Order: sequence, then C-alpha cells, then structure tokens
Amino acid sequence: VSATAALRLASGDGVVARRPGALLFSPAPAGATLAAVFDAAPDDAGAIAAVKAAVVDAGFDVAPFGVVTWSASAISLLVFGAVEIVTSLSTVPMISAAGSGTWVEHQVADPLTDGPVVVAVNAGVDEASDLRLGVVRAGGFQLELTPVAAGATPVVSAAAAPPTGSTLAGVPVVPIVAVNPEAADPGPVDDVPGPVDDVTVIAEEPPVEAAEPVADGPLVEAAMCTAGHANRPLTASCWACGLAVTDNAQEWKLISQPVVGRIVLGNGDGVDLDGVLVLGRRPTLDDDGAQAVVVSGDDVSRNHVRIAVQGWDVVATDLSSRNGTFLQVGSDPTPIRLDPGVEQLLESGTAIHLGSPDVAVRFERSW
Amino acid sequence: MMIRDTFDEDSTSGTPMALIERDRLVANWAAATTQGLKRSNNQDAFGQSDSVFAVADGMGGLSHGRRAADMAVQAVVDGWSAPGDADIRDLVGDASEMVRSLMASTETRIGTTMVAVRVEESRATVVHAGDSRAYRLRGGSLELVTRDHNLRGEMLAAGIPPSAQDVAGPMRALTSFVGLRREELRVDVRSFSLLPGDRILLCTDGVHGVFSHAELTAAVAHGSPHECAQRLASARTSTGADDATALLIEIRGSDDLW
Repeated sequence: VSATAALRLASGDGVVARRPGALLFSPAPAGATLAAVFDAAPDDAGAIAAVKAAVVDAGFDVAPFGVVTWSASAISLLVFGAVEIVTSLSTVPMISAAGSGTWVEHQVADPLTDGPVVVAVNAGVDEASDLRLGVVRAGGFQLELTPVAAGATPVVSAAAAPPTGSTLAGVPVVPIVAVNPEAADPGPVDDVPGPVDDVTVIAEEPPVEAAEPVADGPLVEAAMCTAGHANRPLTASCWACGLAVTDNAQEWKLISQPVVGRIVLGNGDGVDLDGVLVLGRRPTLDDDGAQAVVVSGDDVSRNHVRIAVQGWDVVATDLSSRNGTFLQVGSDPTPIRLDPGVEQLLESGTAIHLGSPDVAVRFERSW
Repeated sequence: MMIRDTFDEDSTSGTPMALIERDRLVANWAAATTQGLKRSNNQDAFGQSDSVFAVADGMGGLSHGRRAADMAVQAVVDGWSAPGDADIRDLVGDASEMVRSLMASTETRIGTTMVAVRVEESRATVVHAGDSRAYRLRGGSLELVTRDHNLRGEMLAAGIPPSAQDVAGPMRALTSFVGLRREELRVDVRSFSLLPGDRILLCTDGVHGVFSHAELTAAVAHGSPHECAQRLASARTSTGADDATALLIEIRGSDDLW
C-alpha cells in the first residue's frame, strides 16, 4: 500500500513549502526563511534536519511553524510555537507547541489502515488548489492522504511533479520574496506565557528526545588550552600540557565524545573509554553500542558492572551482581560498595573489585 | 528535620549529631539564602535532616513557587533520612505529585528544582531534577557532579549543536523539574566518594550563575562553611534578580572532630 497526497491551500500571509513526502507551514511571513531551508535540502529527511538545525542556530527565535512528513507506513508531525495542526487521526486530534520553548513531535505508525487521513491548519482551503512542489504564500493548508493499493500508480511521482519550481493548480502562485531575517517578524513565539520565573523558563512539554541527531553521537563541550588541547570545562589547567584553560563558556568548543580514559584489566590490557562497557563473566548486551568485556572469576556475575562515559565523566553501575561491586578510591582503605542501579562517579586510579578482592580492574583517566 | 522558616534572608549552620555518632566521617554544614532584588518573596528553600541536605528553587507566581520548593525539600529530607530503604526516585516522584496537586488547586503553573545529597560513610549520593547543582571540592579543585536538566544538555546528548550565543535564553529551559507528571520527570541519582577534607556545595542558579568557576572554587575553599555559605548567597548579578541559596557541607575524619 502506498499513499497519494493532495495538498490544498488557504489564502493568507504565511507560507507553505511542499516536497515529495513532506510539507512545512508557517502562519507568519517570516516563516519564508525556514521554508527556503526546507525547500533547498536534497531530500525529505535532510529537509527536516536542516530546519531543526536552522531553528537551533537562530536560538529558537524563529517564526512558529509545523512540518508534516508522510509515507504509507507513518505520519510525523513537528510543531514549534503557536501553530495548531488538527488531524483526523483519533490519537492526535490536535498538536501545538504554544507555550513550549522547543518543538514538539509526534509520529503515528500505519496511519492509513482505516482509510484516508486529513491533516490541516485553518479551514477555508481552496478545493481547486493542489500544490505539488515548491514554496508559496498561504494562510493554511489541508493535506489529504489516501491509501492506494499496490500496483496502482501513485499520484505523487516524478512524472506528476515537475522537477523544480512551484506548481499550484487552481490558485495563482505568488512567488515568495526572500525575507531579510533581521527585518522578519519573529512571530508570536516571544509572546508565549513561558517564564513563570524571571530567569528560569520551564518547558511545558517533555524535552527534545525525539529530535534527530545531527552528529553521529553525543556532543561534548570542551574548553581549549592555549595550545589547542581539549579539556573538561571548568578545569584550571590543561591535562596534557599544563597551560591555562579558558574559563569563558563563549569560547568552549563542541567536540565528538572523546576517549576520556581506560579500564586496565588484571592482565595489564587496557580498554579505551568513549562509550559503554559491560563487564562480567559472560556479558549479554542490551545497550546499543555497548562493548562486552569478559572478566573471569568464580564470584563474577554474568553481567556484573556497567561502565559508561557521560561527557567527561565516567560512572560505574552495579548490575545487581550476586556478590557486589566494590571500589577502592586512592589510598582510602575503606571500600565503597555500589548500590545496584545507582551510578557512581569514578575517579582516576580507582580499583573496581568484581565480587571479590581478588578480581579487580582499574580506571585511569586520560585528562 | 529542619526546614528554614519564612525569613527571606536567612542562614543556618550546625553539625548533624547522627553523623558524628554513626560514621567515620562527619560533617559540619551551613546554609544561607538571599532574596533577589525586586522579588516579593524568596522562592528558594533549603533543609536538613540527619545526614540529608536539600536545596530547591521554586517557580511560580505569588508564594506558590516557594511552597513548591518547601514541599520538595521537606519530602526529600524527611523521606530519605527515615529508617528503611525508601527509593529516592519514588520520593521525588511523590513530591512532584504533591506540587501538581498544589498546581491544580491554585490553577497556576508551579514547579521547583531540587538537589539533595545524603552523606554516607565513605561516599555521598546526590539526587536532582532541574538546574540546581551539587559540587565536590577536593584538593583545591571543584568538580560539578550533577548535570543540569536543560534544553542545551538534551541537545548535546542528542548530537545537536546549539549555537554559541545560546548559553542563556531558551537553552536554559528546564527539561525536568519537580512538578512534572511522574512519567515526564527525570531524576538523576549519582554517588561519589568522600574523603576527609572534601566539601560539598549545593546551590541554586542564583549562585552558580553569578560566579565564574574559578571564583566559585575560591569561595568554597576558604573559610568556615558558615562564611562560605554567606559569601556565596550574598553575591548578586548586576541586576540581582534571582534568589540565591548555598548549602555547604564539610567532611572531616572523626579524629579531627574535637
């Protein structure tokens, strides 16, 4: 099953941009800046990522907008600011980010099993309009997705849509003039009743967990020394050369997760730490990307202790091992028994005993 | 259980007897809070019971933010210091439900950050939601042991680069705080080791947002806990808008005590 998509428009001062499987709508003229970014991307997925990156770059000081992406297997909705998208789906009658400091996303799988789906902002669309590709001025839209049995020719295809430019059947196409971002109306985003405290803004909606990563992995803030070595922010001097490290947050850089240390096994072998290790007799890995480290011993559980990098920190978590995990910190003679499931911050030189004093690995920090 | 009363400029200090009797390590502690200029009341709160210490930064109109902060502090210091093994995440979740009840009855948006630490024999366990922080001072170096729950942190973890200008503003929007629905509430729990001579600082953003790290380190390292707390809570930004609360705990070996 595939889907055909008909996109009808209402008149107004906002903007609609259409791609083969995605659209962006903003009720504000200033939304043209985002529409241009959306339109220029090489593919639909890249368009969403590009819009998100532009929003972040602008410090969330952008016009309110909504993005709809669709296929036969899923509809995704993303809204920022005071835009209300209504749908005929029972699970998402309406989605809005009014009052939220960030965007809000929602995804519905297999949306077309019960027939056509309508996604819209504002009533009063021109029934004769049908935007296939491009960017036009509009005050609202209505997207109707209709399931098409396998074998039928989908309406949206390379043949049906011209390769470039705007096609708008039925209503006159009003070319969008590039909007100077500085002169642009920032839209009502600034007017949301967000801060209840004059310093701290609280987000009504949950965080941006659903946001698509732009980098491959987490980004880590690094304070550079005058010789250019990356350091944990808020340290006095460089771990590598001893030179001064900038205390100015404006000068910190974002880097990919660095190797922040290593685990030295009983035989002297070292394992670099830039992700997650699970140590045990025969580790089974649930974590995405975790690395198994086999540690032999009668008192070692199958999955014994998890060691994870979090930015510049390294934490150890006992995985409810039978005989426990104990830390020996520096020259302190009193071992610390880890509470199962509670992260323990590791310090360089800490010995980690797995179930017995005879079995130990050591954490060595590289910075 | 000690929750400071309703004075808006206040400080408290003491030595929890339970720690002295029970543990190898003991703690002297002190706390101070200062109301922000142009504020009608101080929305920060702090409290202590036995070996549990907490600081909270309330958000909400009228006196509601302050009530939320008090609720969170009270629930955590009472619940976590009580005999038995209450799950600290459940305690914070319960506090969040209480704040939501207050929110429903007052029909206003209310919330509070919360950071609490329980000092155990050779370590401390810290719990937090929001951007109030815990630091450990050891050997002259001050280490941040909590990670703020804000938009910037979420974006970095997801690999999305925020722009450099956004150190303040929307990037500071909290992604977790006491007052969210239990399923949305993110509570981080971390333990760290303690050695004689260590100090622990709990503070609201009215403190950590005012000092550079070097200044904060110097302010925590020198003087008695009482002097440090006073110094930290009385510094202001140029606008002096925010309430400021600092709670300092000094760890000593029992040999050093008397």
